[in-house]
Formats: sequence, C-alpha cells, structure tokens
Amino acid sequence: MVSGRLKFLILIYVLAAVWLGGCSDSSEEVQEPRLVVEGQIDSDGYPRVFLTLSATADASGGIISENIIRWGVVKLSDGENEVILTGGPMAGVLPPYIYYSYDMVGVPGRSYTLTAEYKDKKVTSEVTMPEPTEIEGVRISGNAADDRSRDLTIMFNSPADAPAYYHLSVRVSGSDNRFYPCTPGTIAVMEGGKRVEMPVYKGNGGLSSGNDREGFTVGERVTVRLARVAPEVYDFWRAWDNAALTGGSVFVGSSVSLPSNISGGYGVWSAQGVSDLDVEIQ
Amino acid sequence: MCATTAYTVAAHTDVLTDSATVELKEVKVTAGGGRLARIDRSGAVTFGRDAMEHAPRMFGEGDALRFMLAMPGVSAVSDYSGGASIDGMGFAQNEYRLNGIPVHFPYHFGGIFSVFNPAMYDRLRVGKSIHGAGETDVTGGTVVLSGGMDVAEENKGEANLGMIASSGFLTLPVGQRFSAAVAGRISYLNLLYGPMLRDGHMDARYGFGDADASVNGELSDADRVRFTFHFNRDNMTYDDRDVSLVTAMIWSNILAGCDWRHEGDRMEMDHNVWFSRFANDLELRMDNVRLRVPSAITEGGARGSFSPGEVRDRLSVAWGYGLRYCRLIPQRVKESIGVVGEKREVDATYAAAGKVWGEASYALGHRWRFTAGIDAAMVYGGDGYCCRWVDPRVSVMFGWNGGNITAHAGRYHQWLHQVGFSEMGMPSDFKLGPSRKAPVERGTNLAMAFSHRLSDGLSVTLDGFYKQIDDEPEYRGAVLDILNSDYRAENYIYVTRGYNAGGNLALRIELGRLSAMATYGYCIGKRRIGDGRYFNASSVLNHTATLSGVWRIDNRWSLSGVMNIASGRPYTPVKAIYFIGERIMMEYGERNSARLPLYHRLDIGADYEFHTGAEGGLTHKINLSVVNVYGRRNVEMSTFTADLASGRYMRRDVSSLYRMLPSVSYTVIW
Repeated sequence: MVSGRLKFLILIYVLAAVWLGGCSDSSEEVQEPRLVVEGQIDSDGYPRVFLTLSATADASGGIISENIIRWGVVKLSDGENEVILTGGPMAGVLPPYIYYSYDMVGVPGRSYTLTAEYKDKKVTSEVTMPEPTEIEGVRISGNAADDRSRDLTIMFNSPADAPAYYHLSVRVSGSDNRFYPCTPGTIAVMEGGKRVEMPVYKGNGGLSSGNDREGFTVGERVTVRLARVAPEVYDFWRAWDNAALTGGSVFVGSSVSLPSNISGGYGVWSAQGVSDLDVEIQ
Repeated sequence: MCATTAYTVAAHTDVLTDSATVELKEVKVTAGGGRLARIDRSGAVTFGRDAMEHAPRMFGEGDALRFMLAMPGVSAVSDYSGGASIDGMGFAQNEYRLNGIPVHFPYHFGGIFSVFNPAMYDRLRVGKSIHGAGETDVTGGTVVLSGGMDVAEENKGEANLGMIASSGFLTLPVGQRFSAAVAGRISYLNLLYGPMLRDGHMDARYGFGDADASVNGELSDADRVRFTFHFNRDNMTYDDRDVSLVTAMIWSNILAGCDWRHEGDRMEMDHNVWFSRFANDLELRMDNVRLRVPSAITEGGARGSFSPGEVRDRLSVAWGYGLRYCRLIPQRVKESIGVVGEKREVDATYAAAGKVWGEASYALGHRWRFTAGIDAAMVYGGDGYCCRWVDPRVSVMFGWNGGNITAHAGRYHQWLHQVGFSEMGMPSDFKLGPSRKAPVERGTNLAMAFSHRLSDGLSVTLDGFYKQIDDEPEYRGAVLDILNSDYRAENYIYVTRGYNAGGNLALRIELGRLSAMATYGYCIGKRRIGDGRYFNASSVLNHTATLSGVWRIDNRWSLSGVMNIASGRPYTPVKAIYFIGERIMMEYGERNSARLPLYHRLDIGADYEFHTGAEGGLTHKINLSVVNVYGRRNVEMSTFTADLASGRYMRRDVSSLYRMLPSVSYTVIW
C-alpha cells in the first residue's frame, strides 16, 4: 500500500517533468538581414559611410566579414546636387571597406539625404547639419593610477541657439585609422552661453588602440572631434553609449534596441558641425 | 493584523482538520510543527522551523524564504534575484512583513537566503491570491514571518557554524513577565567560496551581517507586548569582465516595531507600530566612468485590528485600521566621475496612506461559511496625487469531512511601487510612491482553493486563480538616463495592464518516516502598454514543479532533497546583431517573446543529530548539503559577444552563480 502511493506520487511527478521538458519554449526570433549604416558628413568635410548587413542572431554565431558590403550603391544629396560614393578597402578598421566621396563638402544648415542600396535592400536617411561649436580649450591632468597616463578634458561654450547636442570622438595618430566614438561621448546642453567641460576618452572600438581602461599616454598625438549633431543622432549615440557600457550585464543591462534615423535599416547617418583639436599628450 | 480576524483564523486552519465546522475560539495557529509545509483553506502555505531545518541548505544556512520556493505557486525568477514570484506576480508585488513590520528587501544577494535569522523567526505564512480584508497593501502575495509573543521561561540558545556564515541566538527570561532574545549572523563567504564565485568571465565578492533583538512581555493575563529590532547590511561586488562593468551594491534594512496583543473575554485586539528603512547604494564602474546611484525608503506606520469574535450565533466580525507614511528618495546620481551629467540631490518624495477595514463571517450549518469584507483606503503621493478606493472581498467556504473548498473574489490596490534596471528583483531596485505617472496599481482576483485528504497520510490541494491587473508600472530607464538634466524616475515609467491565470496542484504524503510533497504549477501572464500587443509578464514561469522530501532513517539521521524544474524565464531575444564603432550592437525582438532554457536543479541534504549531557543538555546537529548536485548551468541571460581577433561573433549564455555547492554546518542547541 505504501509503495503504491509512493509510486503514484512519483508517477505524477515524472509525468509533469516530462511535460515540462517538452514545453521548453525557448524560441528565437530570426530576422532577415538589414542594411546597417555608420556614416557622416562633417562641416567642411567629406562624406564617409560604412555599410554592412546585420547578422542573424542564431545560437551558432557567425563570421563578421560575411556581413561586409562591397557592392552597394551609396548616394548623397544636399537638395541641389547628388553624388555617388565610391567604395574602397580601408585597412585597420571594421568593416575594412568604406564608401567616400570628395565631390561634396558639408555645409552647416543644409540637409543631407543618404540613400544606400544593396541587392533588394534600400535605406534612406535625412539629417540637417547644425553649426559647429568651437573647442575653447583643453586640460590635461595626471592620472593617479599611472604616471604615464593622462586624462583629457575639453572646454566649450554652448551656442546661443541651444539646446545643442554633441557627440565626441577621438583618433590617436599613428595607431587609429579612424575616429572612434568616445565611451561615453554624448552630452546635451539645454542652455545657451553655458561653459561646458567634457571628459575625453579613448575610443574603445575593437580594433582601436584604446581598448583598455587607462587614459592617454604621454607622447601620443590625439585629435579630439566635437561634433554638434541633430537630436535624433544624439539619441542614437546616447543609446549606443548605454549599450556599449552596460550591454550584457545581468544587473543593469537593458533589452532595448537602439533608435535609428535609418529608414528601413539600422545605424546612424549624421550631418554634423565639427570642431577638431589636436593635442600632444605631455 | 490578520491573525485575529474571524475569516483569517479559519483560513489558517490546517487542511487536515476533521471537523467541517471551525470553532474559532479553540483554533490555535501552530505553524511550528511538522516537517512538511501545510496548505490551508485559502491556498496559503504555512510552515515552521522544523520543515526548513530538514531541507537541504544553501551554504549551510537553513532559511525560510528559500524554503518557500519549493511551495506550490511560489518560484524564483532567477538565481540572481532576491524575491519570489507568487502566482506569477512580480517580486515587487509581494508584501514582506517581519513581526508585522514591512520589509522592503528581505534578501541577501542572489536570494541565497533571507536576512532573517531562522532561530529568531521560526514561522512563515505565504498568502497567495486569497486575502482577507485589511490583510495586504499589494496586488500579489504576502510573506509573513513571525517569532511568537510568548515569554520565554528558561534560557535557550543555539549557535550555528556554517561555511559562509556563523550565527548565534540566545533567549532568556527577564524577571517574571519579560524575556529577551538576541541573534546575530556574520558572513565570511569569500574565504571558502570565493574561488567558486569567479572564473574567466566574472569575479564576485560578497559579505553580509545581520542582527536581531526582541523583547516579549506579559503585561497581564490578557495583554502581551513584543518589541522587535532588526538590522542587516550587505556588500557585493560583481566584476563582469566580458562587458568591463563592475557592479557594486551596498544595501541595508533597519526595522523596529512594537506589537500589543490583547486577548480579553469580549474583545481581541492587535496593534502594531513600526519604523522601517531600506537603503541601497549602487555603484557602477564602467571603463572610464564611475557612477554612484543611491536610493532609499524610510517609513513609519501603525496597524491594528479588533475582533469581538461571535457577536451573534454563527456571526463573527472584525475590523481594523492602517496608517503608513513614507519618505522616498528614488534613484539619483550622488556621485559621478568621468562623465558629464547632473550630480544633484533629488528632492525626497512623500506618500501617506490610511485605511480602515471591516469583515463579517457567517457560518451556515456545519458546512458553509460566508465571509465578506471591505478595505477602504486613501493615499496621497507626489505631485498632489490622491487616490481613494473601497475594495470589496468575498469568500465562500464549503467543508466536508476531510476536505474543503473556498471560492474568493476580491479587489486589491498597491500604492508603493518598486522598479529598477533589472527585472529579476535586485536590491538596487528602488521604491516609488504613487503619482500621476505611476498611479496606484489595481488588481481583481478570482480564486479558488480546494483540499482533500485522500487517505491516511495522503492529501491533495488544488488552487486556481485569475488576476486582472491595471496600472502595473514598468521602468524603462537605462543607466545613462539618470545623468540627464531632466531625469525623474517617474518619467521612465510605463503603465501596463494585463492578467495572470493559472493553478497549482500539490500532493502531500506522510508515511511513517517519509514526508514528501510534489507540486506542479501552471501560469500564464500577459501585459500590454495602452492598447499595444500583449507580451509575456517578466516573472511568469509557465510550468513549475518541485519534489521535496525528508526521510528520517532513525532518530539520528535524516535525508532530504528538493528537485526544482521550471520553464525558463521570459526574455527579450536578440533578433539581429550589427557593428557600430567596432562594437557589437543588438536589435531586440518582441518583448519577452522567448524563454530561457528549462531550469532544473537538485539539492540534497543529510542531517545527523545527537545529544550530550543529561536531559535538557545539548542537542547537536550536523547538516551536510549539496546544492545543484549535478552542476546544472542554468541559463540566466542570453546575449551576444564578438571576438574581433578571430573575426567571429557568438552567443553568450550567462549562467547561474550556483554551480555544485557542497556545504556543512554544525548547530548546537541548549
């Protein structure tokens, strides 16, 4: 009798467990690849666009280089003229292929419409370029953690037509082949005429020289780029900062997609007023 | 407050009570005995220390709140989380009380065990979807720990030496009418378990301490008082090397309260005043940035109940009151290094609530009992927000020899919210008072509970519930949002509505030296924002099953085990990845549209008990436990990483902290 009841109990449990096992409803939502844009045209500068495909997030992972687009068509219009960007390889960056043109120069106040096509995929984006804000000064300070490491802070005054939105990027001469976004590197200034101090960090791109937690090193030559960007571009980089800093954290990571001003795709297209400052770290 | 109402006392009665008629005056609430949890007529689970003492221990510590996770309808959302889901509701929708004092975060890190010393607080009741009037201020479940109000007549004490912590408990009479008890616990987890909590991807360090004191007094034959004090402080650092993020948290509870119970011939009364403070200091260290983001809640309150018992033949009534006043400091930036943002003191917000309630219970014949009550309340919150409500609750019970069934319908409100970056119930989650953007949450419960003794030693309980939820808050803020100059936590609240439905089955068997319980629960829960599409509620595990048992081999040895199986937690899947700035970025699919892999874990334990000295001498207990016997790496999170050196991206599953964890503890009792 005793064993009979026990068997009954175990049977019920085993049946429930088997049912549970069969109900492991882990599902993966697969999406067709989309075009991904990381591009900008700077004031008094030329357009540069990285164009890739997004990768399907399946459990087996994949190879990054398979998502590089070498045969895309990238066009840029300022409302009066349209140029087709030329694609070409670029060493030391990811993706190692860039679309560029020297036939159009960025002018603040103009709107720039980007169109990118690849096979049956097409994306567009339009952004108006704000006036740049000059970097007024820079402060180099010692880093307590390392004698040869320095912290960098730039100063600027917010423009009268605030609110103004900024994104900071940096390139180390001799080691970086592109400007890398600082992490974090965004700030919104809501009032005009305000003195703003903003720390500058090495970009932490995967192939950059600055993939560490330290500051700049004595002897390095650094170009700091302060880009005044459109609000939607700021929103993208702000979210990018969040994702880059906390993505994947069990405790504070959020499962929120980045906003994008790319219609039909991912990423960001920016027409930005830029101010560069060359600094020799001493 | 609840223990004196006619309805609730009836509900506390064990399902195995033979009599179909409940004689209220003679019912004793005695949760302390037995090695199995008991499930009463409202579906509530009650158990005492003996039950948890014989369960497998985590790190050598027996604990009530961990033990309750093996109960039907109660589950942990994650091994990292502190908190429980009761009938699929979120961790923030439960009300925890210690000797009547609200506790805003009752767990040490990762829910490994609670902040309460089991020797001091030895009874626990988990109320699920059926509550009497005045019993709760939340839309979810209630978890009530208590330590009794009796005056100790002799010195008693115990010391527990575990592998991550040691604790002591001492109670002694003070004069004829008073007794005092003190307890304390301190951890040294990093000494022995440190290497097990770190690998190439992460390094966790953790420490905690807690202290308790109480004084029980017998003022007269009819009047008893109890003073309670509790303090705990935890310190945790978690270095996630894959994302270069160090998360450090310090959190603490300070509780103080006083109970007065009057048991007169004509009236029984309970009154309770308290002070409760929970503070958390979250620090995030990311590449170049350091942020300190503290939050706190401080509250004082009082509640009371009056129960004259049967005012007429078969008619019992009870009524009571409750007052709460909270000062809340929501999450804000206290200190920021390396990032431009607004470092500022955020004004505290305040919330005040008052309520009165009343309940009547009528027995019709020997089998039927009807209970009806109302809970009328008013709350004031931030930005001039004010809300009033009257919650009706009705229960009908039908009993027979060996069983009973209860049906319940009730309306519930919750005005104190808890939100945070995590959906799993972390100490960094902060409290928010009601406001226009985070209004009072409302719930309607339809529930039933059935229990029946099948034969000697075998009983079955079954409960079912449907909950309609409105205005449940959900926080959508990201870490850097708190640096925005216009940051206010309320601005990142999304109000959701939806429902939970499900049921739980439990089979209990008590045969000779074997005590065992098997449970199975099914729950679905959906939420939506506005008129948007429904998505899975974060804390709902569709299927849960547990098998727990204790086998007393002889008077010295006993073996125990708990097997947990559950559907994976809902999560928002990554549907695409791409690279921007040479960093991997993820595009997410529909919210909570996927589930983590099946969760399962087996814990086992063995107890050896012996006595030394003459009668009344020392009792010694040695507990050997193994948590996660087969080292299952239950997945807690699924994300993607890239290795640019090899040119590949791959999925990264973050698994539970708890790989196979053996432990031994020694307890001496005198």
